[in-house]
Amino acid sequence: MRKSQAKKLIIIFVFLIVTGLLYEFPKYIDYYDDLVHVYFFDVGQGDSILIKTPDRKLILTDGGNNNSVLYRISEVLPFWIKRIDYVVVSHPHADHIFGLISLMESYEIGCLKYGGTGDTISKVEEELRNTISTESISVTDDCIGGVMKYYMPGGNDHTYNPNLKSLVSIYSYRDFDVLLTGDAEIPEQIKALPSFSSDIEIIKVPHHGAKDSFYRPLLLALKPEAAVISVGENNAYHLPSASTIDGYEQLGIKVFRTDKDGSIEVISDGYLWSIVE
Amino acid sequence: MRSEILVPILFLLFLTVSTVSRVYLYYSTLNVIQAGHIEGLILSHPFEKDGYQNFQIKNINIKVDPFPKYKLGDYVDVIVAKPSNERVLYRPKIELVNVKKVRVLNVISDYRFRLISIVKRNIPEPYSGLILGMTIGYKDDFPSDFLDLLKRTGTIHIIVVSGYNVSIVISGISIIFAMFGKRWNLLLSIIFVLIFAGLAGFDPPVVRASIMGIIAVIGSSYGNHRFSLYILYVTLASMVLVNPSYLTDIGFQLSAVATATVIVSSMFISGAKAFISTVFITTFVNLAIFPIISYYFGTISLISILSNLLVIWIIPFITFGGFFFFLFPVFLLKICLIIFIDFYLICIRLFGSLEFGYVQYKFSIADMFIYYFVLLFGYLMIFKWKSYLNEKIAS
Repeated sequence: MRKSQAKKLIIIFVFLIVTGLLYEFPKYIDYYDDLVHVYFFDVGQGDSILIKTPDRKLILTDGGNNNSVLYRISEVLPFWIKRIDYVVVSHPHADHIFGLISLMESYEIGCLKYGGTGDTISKVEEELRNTISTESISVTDDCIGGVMKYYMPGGNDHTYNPNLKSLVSIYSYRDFDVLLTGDAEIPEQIKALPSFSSDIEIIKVPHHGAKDSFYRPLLLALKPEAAVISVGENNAYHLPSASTIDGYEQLGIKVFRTDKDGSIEVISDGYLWSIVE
Repeated sequence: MRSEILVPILFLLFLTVSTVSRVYLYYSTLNVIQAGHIEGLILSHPFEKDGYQNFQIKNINIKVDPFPKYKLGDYVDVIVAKPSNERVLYRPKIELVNVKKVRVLNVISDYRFRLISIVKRNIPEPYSGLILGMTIGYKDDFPSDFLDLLKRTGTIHIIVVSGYNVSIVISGISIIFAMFGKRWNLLLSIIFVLIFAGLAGFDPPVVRASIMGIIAVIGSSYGNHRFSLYILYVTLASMVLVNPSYLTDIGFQLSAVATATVIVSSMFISGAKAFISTVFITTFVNLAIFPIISYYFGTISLISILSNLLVIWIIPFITFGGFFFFLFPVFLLKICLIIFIDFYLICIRLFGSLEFGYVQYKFSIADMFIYYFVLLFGYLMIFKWKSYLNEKIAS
């Protein structure tokens, strides 16, 4: 190879490295800062929420109805991060667990908290359980005990509706609290209400904003300042319900939607919080 | 007329008449799907899209739940509960007929899963999806906003394995196997191309490029442009003769038009520098294929020539790098691949954000007819003008 050709190649490679660093730099800054980042991913009709704690632990609650959670995660994490410390399955409906199957095959998982009890309800859940087994993922009840409070108001009651056994969790850092509600419906919210003791800042609207999940006393008690609805554009269920959105807005709660706003990022230092535009 | 001209012309005539008759018979007997059983072999890798697992049996699109997973080489019995007017069946009952499955194809499919796993475990999305798309034609379940970005920039062809990737692979393996001597080179190249086509799932562009690649390896004949056009025509006609439904496959149409354009435009610019050739060929190919994209997707990218010129050169690096990564999944190679793809992502995000870069317009059949007529007339004029210039220079 001639000297001038080698020089050109080196220039091209340096240029590529610089552009690559420019692309990765914002993700690097976000990952290594001392703030809480909560990402409500736009995964279509389904839920997937990632929390990055100030000590760089990653908590993923649900994985959506397709594999786009993998793409969303890599949009916010540096490419060398291939481990999720905690994975939470709120309940085993496909729109909450499908993406977790690919995730488990691609990422190292610290431990998993499974919000489903009883028999397998679908082929997708059967596949998820097989993957948990083949990937030797540790499924423990106290998996998220150290980082989040969680409730299963539906307990182990044998019920036909997995929503009624949905796991509800709260992540808190100093004065900042995020409530993740899965698909909890009103009976479950009534049971869960006495467990909550303080105001919260952000609520993930239960059951994608369905009418059957709007429970005003819960909102009056917890006084959230913002609500996020995880919902797919033009979804077949016509969610969220207009009455649910009205209900939140009447209480002065600002509503964000993943179908309109795309993935939504909330950051906080534990005292102040903001939505990243 | 001399026999060396007469024989190919008669052969072409025979092939054309046979193909047209076969297409006519196929489409005139294409009835609605009747209730009952449809048995067949899965001859392409099933892929996930819109929550369904998709594959074809006897030219009928089957859409089933993502689990259980079916694979290349499986023989299935599809139970059709009621007649359908469309060539699509949603969630039919399916039974595997294990005794009739083709084990060799199953083995290729298992090996493909292993390759996918190697990349996915080491490299995050969208890098892994792009690498696997360019190397083994893996159709990743990318989110719709990312796919829109690719459509807006006219670079969606990059995420699938195309004739270009196949020709890159064939050139590479011919160089590698050259050390074994001519006969072994030929044999090993053909075996490798067949395995590669299997890994990529026998998609029409892959089949087209593999057949042409094998012919090129046998005859070392790509030097003569007219002969390349002849081979292209024979390959395309033979494929349609075997499977008339290829004619309506968008991948087949794009591959045919793009390859013909590459061959024809190479006639105009033979002897030009590599950079000039790339600019001309990219421009000609984009001008030739955009009506098809507009017809199917209803969009025209106004910046596709520019965005393709900026990113097309990374395809050989990622294709080769991806194959090496299958064998040696080392950190340094991973970083190199990511750096190349980061450049691609920056370009498409930059171009995709341009408001004027993209219009929504669906070409009608009449539009296409007029456009291709003008395009061919233009080519002819350039060709005549070039011949005139050459004659003048010679005199």
